[in-house]
Amino acid sequence: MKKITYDQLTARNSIQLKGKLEKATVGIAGCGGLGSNVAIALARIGVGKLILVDFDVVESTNLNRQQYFIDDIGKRKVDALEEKLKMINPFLQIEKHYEKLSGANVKIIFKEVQIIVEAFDKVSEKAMLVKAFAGNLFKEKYLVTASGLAGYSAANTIKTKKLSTNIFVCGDNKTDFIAEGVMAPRVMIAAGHQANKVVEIIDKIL
Amino acid sequence: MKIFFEYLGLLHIEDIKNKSYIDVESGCTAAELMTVLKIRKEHQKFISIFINDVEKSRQTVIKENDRVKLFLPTGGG
Repeated sequence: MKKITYDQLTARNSIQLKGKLEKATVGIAGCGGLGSNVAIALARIGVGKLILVDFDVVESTNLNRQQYFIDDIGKRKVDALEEKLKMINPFLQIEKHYEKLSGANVKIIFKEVQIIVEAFDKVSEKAMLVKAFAGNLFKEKYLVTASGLAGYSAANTIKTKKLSTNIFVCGDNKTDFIAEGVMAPRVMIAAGHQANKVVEIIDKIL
Repeated sequence: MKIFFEYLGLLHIEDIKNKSYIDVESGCTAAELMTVLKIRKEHQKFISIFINDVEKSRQTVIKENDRVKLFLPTGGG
């Protein structure tokens, strides 16, 4: 395997971020369409540590939007994603959790992160994570959630909006996967919004 | 009393314009607001409530001129 340095990997990054990205720890809640794309974006720019959480394995139906290959089918998503991330950024620290996130374990698993990326597909799981931020449990952390990325309607309807001082939502807040399906283009746009908001937060807090 | 009301997500709220001032009874809680607005029970359980840019519980009493935002996520990821 060819070798590179961290400085080479990050040479084209914005100069303002120098010294900040490697200090960041980001939680990825779900390693499907959103989570795999966000994780790869953050690995490419040199984020220091990712905590990956997913209880699922790669299936053939995931390939239309998730960053996996045919040979990954049957692998745990956290394992398959780790392989990809290490091929891009060997300096990245990765902590994997092959389990389902719940109100009971979320504060333990994400104890050390500064930012959590909500990347689930079920409404109930998305709501669980947003609600976990009510109260004082996560008052020092940020959440970047996603809502409305289904179908193939206009890409420009996907926006990043502020829900509170520490919660942001990316998406059109309308389209739903049951009615419209989910495909790579809009999922990747929403994931790009999430990854970019993570970078903005890192720049602000580190 | 008047509050500023906004919602995000696939909510069907009759006769209420999104991002507008609405009248609610003094002492109304966030939970009561969702009932007054006739939001379906199956939606209410997934809604997060933000008042003046802070996430709050359903028991929070809404005050005059509060900015109340309801967020119902849509599925897909």
